[in-house]
Amino acid sequence: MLHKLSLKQLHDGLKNKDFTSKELTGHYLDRIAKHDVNLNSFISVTSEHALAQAQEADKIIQRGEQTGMLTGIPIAQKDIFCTKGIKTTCCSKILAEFTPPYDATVIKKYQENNSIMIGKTNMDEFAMGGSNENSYFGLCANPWDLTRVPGGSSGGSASAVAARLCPGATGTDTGGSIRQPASFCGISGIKPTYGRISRYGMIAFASSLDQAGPMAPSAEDLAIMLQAMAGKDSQDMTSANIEVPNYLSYINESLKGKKVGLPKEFFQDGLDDKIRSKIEDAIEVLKQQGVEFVEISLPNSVLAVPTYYIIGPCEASSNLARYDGVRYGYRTNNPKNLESLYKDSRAEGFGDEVKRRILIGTYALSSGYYDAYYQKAQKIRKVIKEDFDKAFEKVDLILGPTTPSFAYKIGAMTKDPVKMYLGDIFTIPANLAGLPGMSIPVGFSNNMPIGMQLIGKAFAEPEMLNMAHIYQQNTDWHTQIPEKYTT
Amino acid sequence: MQDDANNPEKKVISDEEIKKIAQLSMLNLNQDELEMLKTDFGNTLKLFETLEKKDVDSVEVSYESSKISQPRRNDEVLHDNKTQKQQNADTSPYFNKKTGYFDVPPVIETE
Repeated sequence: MLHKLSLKQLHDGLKNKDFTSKELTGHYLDRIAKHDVNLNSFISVTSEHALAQAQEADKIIQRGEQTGMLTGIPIAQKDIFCTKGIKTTCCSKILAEFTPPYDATVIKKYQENNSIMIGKTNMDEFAMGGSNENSYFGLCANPWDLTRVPGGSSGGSASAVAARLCPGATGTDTGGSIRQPASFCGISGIKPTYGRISRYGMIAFASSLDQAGPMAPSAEDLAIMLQAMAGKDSQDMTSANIEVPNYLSYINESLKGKKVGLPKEFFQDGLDDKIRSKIEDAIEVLKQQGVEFVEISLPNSVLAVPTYYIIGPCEASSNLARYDGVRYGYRTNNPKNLESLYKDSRAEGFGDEVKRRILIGTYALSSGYYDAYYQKAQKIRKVIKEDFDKAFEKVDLILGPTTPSFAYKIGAMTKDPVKMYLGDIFTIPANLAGLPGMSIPVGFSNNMPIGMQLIGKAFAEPEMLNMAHIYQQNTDWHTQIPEKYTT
Repeated sequence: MQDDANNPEKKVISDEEIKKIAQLSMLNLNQDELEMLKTDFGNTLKLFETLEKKDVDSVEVSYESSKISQPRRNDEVLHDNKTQKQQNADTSPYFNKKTGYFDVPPVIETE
């Protein structure tokens, strides 16, 4: 039953020599072998690499050295992080055979913490999508109902954590890609403040929005993982030169006197009543802990989706120009000439959603449309951020639903991409403003999980983890495991 | 707004325009793909129409979400870029170790 233990319990167990890292890693590898056939949450299972790392971690523990909280603990990495000598595909045909010659900073940091990389997880191609249906390696299922999507783009990570195929996993969040799948799969996930975690070696989608973060059952687990991931990196000039606090030291603080804003725009029509009701229950739990709630307004948040679907694709069209079939990645067979090498390699290598976003971005940046779309979207982005600044003059945190609906049936949205885009309505504002956002489970309806979102001021991760942890000390939603995966 | 955005009949982009954008995007698209992407493209543009009503003329444009200043460093080479680039090139199947260049089809056509 090792898979029911939290990261802290696993750390204590390893330290007390109740079990070894090799046994723990073996346990999770067995679970992946047994359960992932139906889920497809992993693209690569790095068994040999993991067991070798576990052996090293066991030596460190045996020597009785001071060990970090993640020493000997297996973590799954989203297949967007470059891993030296291990295939990194971003779930695209264009990178299907790509093996990076270097490690992303996030990967390096986990290695420095002597954590075990158990495998690389499934995702929407280039992190574009909200259902994991855009993966070149096939869709991934939601462990709570195999006929439903796990969300996306970090769907593989969310599915693997929910089924306890790993105690924690990394994700990335450009418009909700950590929080939405966390919500759909009943786990916790945090997108930290833009710049809190280095983006070096994280395959780029929209560079002004992309941010890595941890996904795990509880807020306490997230605090431990975020501690390992956060910090300034000379390889990423947008990483913040701000000291990383000791997150665990904050999580047990009292919530008495904390003021939380409820944006009226997040509770209007379009929000599923069952989700609304579970959020209201969670608010009651927090009220009992001394939290005060006030209604606030984020009037321009309704413009966030179209704003994001201009800025994101503009940055993507530029970032993805590097995939030209010349230096690395997929190259078309028998190109007629140099132009056909570019155009055919890209047409054959990218999936439909990626093509859609490249086209939209190219259009919005093209001559004659730049002011009307890109520049206007940047101005609206600023106005959206100012709404948050104003709100945070009155409140410590903002609370609302993570998603307007539950995890939907596989295939339900594939024919209507715009409808899928609108599902990001509550998560996108935090990305546009560069603010931290997190999702924690707050209940179920028809056996499908419901997530609640907290949004904080820049670098307010300690306060968010604190509130989420105290909530989880008073509820047990985060400990629920889909029946099939309990043993 | 949502109904309009989801109405596939409302195409707002012409065949010529989508072909031009595909050319600028360096994507060789077949007719079926062009049709599908044209419809999706039109729907996405309808979604963007909601922004038209918002007056932001007086707003100063800003391209970053964070105002945190970054410390400057001395202009010194910190990483061995040449070795790193060579390592990257060596892992590429298209890198020609003899010439030191990436092989591509000839740009000047020969008979």
